[in-house]
Amino acid sequence: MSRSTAQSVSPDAVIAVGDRFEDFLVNRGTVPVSDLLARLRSGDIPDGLTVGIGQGLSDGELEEIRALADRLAPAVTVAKPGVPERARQRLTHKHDAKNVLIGPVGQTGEHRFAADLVLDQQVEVLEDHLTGQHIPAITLLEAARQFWTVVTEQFYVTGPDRTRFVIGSVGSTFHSFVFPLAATLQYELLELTRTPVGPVFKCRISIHHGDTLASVIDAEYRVIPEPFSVKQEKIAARQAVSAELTRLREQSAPAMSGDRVA
Amino acid sequence: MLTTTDITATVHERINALLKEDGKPVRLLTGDEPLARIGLSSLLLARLIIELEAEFGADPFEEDYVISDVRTVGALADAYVETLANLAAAAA
Repeated sequence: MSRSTAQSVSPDAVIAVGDRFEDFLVNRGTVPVSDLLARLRSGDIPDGLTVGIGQGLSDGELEEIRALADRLAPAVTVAKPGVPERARQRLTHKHDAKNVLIGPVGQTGEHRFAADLVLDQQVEVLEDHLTGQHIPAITLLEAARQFWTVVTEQFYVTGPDRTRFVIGSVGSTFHSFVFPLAATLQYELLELTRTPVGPVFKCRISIHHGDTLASVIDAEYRVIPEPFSVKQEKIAARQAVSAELTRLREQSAPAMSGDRVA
Repeated sequence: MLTTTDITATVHERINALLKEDGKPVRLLTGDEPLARIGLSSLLLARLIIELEAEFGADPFEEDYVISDVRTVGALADAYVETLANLAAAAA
């Protein structure tokens, strides 16, 4: 049997993945997003093509796939659940839109929420660290962080006062690879404690590839009114600097006469 | 002008108010209590300092003191006494 390439797969369905996932793109049925866009723009596509959206696509690429699929329909369809969007950037606490890793959050039950994983291949936690075919654990941890941040901002923290989110603890278990394919995150609130310096949340986030549970991340984090957090940090920083200066002065202090080396 | 007694009483009162709000036991403070052991986390301490700044118009930890300078409740109250005295002297 001749060696197959991703491009010689059955034309019925392909999965678009960011070009950077070179190792993963050797898998039949995957296509670099730049190739797919070139073919959609030229109209050089087989009839009845279904496009699955994998990971690594930028907002611009997603938008263009959506527009081209609309124009070429019904020759081209995007597989359910369609072209994903990203969560509102402000809610994730990221300054750069390309660093948003999740889609909009929906509530699925009492204190339970879900979101899609929607990675841009230019995201900061992938840009300098991509080994093999899978999405690195550190990227999934950041996706989880954004997820709990959006859940809390959107559903639990009300009022105009500025706050800071501070992580108390994070524990994670990785059961199987997350590849650059469709994946979802689920949030379950385990405990919420109100304190005089802000609420403390304990949550469990699970990451799923279809029916497979890929990862579980348990986190405890506090939402602190900003003035308390600023003051706490200021006090701690001054203390740390003072301690370090004391250490440096002790290091460079001249030896006592009795300590002179013979 | 606030006396040492006034300042100390306010510091004790604010500490106990925070402890009560946090569901911790309150007690008659003498000043000998180690600050690290009365139940104030670093965040609660930050809130205490903010509230005392609102009360007194001064924060000893802005420039004159670092937190390790004040090991006891009494030392904390003394930090405010001294800072306020210095401010009053500077204003005179």
